[in-house]
Amino acid sequence: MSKRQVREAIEGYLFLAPNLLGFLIFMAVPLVLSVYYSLTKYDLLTEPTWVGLGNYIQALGFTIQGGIVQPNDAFFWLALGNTAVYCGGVLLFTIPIALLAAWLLNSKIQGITFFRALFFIPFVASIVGVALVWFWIYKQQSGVLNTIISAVIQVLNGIGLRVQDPNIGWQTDSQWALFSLIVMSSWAMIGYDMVIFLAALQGIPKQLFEAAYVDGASRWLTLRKIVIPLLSPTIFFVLVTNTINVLQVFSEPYIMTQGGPANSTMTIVLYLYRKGFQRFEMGYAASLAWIVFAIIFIITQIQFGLSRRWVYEE
Amino acid sequence: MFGQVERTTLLQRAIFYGVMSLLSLIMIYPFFFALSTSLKDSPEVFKNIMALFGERLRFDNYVTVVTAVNMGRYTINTAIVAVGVTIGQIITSILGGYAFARINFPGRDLIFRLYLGTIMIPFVVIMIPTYKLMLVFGWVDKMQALIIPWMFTASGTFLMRQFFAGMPKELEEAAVIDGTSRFGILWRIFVPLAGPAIATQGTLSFLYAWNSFIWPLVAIQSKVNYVATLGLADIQGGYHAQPPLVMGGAILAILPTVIVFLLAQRYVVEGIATTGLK
Repeated sequence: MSKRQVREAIEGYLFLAPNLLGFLIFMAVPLVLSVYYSLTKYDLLTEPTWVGLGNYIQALGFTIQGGIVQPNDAFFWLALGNTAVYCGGVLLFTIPIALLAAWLLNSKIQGITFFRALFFIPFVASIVGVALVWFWIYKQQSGVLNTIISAVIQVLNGIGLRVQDPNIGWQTDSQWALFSLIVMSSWAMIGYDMVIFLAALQGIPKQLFEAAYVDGASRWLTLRKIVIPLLSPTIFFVLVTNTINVLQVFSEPYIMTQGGPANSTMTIVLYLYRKGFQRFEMGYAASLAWIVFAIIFIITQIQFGLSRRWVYEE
Repeated sequence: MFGQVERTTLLQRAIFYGVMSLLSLIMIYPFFFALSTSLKDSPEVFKNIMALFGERLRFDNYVTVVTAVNMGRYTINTAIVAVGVTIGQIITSILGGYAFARINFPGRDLIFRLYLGTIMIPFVVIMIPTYKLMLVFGWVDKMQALIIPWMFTASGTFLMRQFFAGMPKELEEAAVIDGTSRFGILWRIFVPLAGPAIATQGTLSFLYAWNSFIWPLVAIQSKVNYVATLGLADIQGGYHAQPPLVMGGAILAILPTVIVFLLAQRYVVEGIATTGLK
């Protein structure tokens, strides 16, 4: 290396130093330790004891007892199932509504900036604060939602229909609690997706629409043949980033339902938190964290694989 | 409507504004409800939760929220944490991003790839070892546990690197001939041009730090060191019978992020639309 190259190399590392130091201490070291902890039984205070793959077998494994297959950790599977339902639900609500809103907004009619800001506010608002507010919306006795439903039912009964007030325990009935969380989280995420969709829509050249219009294509045809294909890379991107975020849900069930009722809103990260910081099974919690990572990794890989079939590339 | 070519008919406009108004109402109502509830007293809330106003607007509720409920202290703590994290992330991202983009040094591309590889790793994977580090450093239950580990960001470094990499080479060459130092080049030429990228990065860092919950929950125990999200979780348990105080606390925690967002809207929207970073 020439003298100048050596000097440049030194300068490069000097500039990178603060960043790299932080990266090493607060990312690289914890990553390595995390792998190690996940292979041990560890309570943070005494020395870890090596258990090999024991934690992973405990979480993922099954035992056959008297001809019946039993999961080693039924709670883990319950939490995983809840998280899967939650994730699917949020994506199903969020993406279509965000697309619709972006599509409506992407027009000459005034007010894009206003509506965009309005839709985005739930996303920037503290989810903990938001969850407290929704707690009172969902509250069974004298909550907002049930008050509205009761009022509507009174009107219906007033015109001669006989409808019973369901008085749903949105957070206290195990059939409804997870659904309630899905609706709230979708509400908080729609604006984020909409902003991305809107930017993509605005990137579609106007000439394409003009050409379609001149050719006499219907709106529906334009939507199917122009908008959706050109938007498909964005839909894919949103799908992947949303999945990564949603799978890590924690604050919403922690604040609103504490995982209940009857564990119906116990999510995988909430379960991890309980195991680690309430029962001090740190080794087991670390293995759960890696399982979360593996799930995220596998799902995004599958999404990448499938995307070749439906994502339109220019 | 979406064609941007045809003239919109009255009916179409009516549909547009109808649907958008309904969606907007759903988006904004919870905040409105929180604000209206925070200005009533508890009996008024329980009497009719839908009423917009009680007998009068009880702004004194906020005095209670700030003092007795201690949200004032928690909000100041949150501001210290969020500002510290934001400044730290901006400095490390600018320096690191510049090094990755404009300086040739051995190992650069490998290190950069390692950085990129960590962007997808969920925080919970490193949460337990990071807590262990806090124990070792003696930072458990101290504010620095909420600031220092968060002053480094792979995604922010990536964002700044992309920005600096896109700048023309001539920018440096003239300065090098003039004998300006590297730092001088970065500080006097690149940083002023990077205003929008820094604003984007800074706003996203601030919002993220302000709203973070699981890490403060793990790292902080004493109420004097609580941030707003921890305070809210506490209020939720302790003030069940007093919804106005809970809603007042929620408004206090939410309002600063909304204000920051509205001020920096352009940058947030641009940052998210181009990178999708949270």
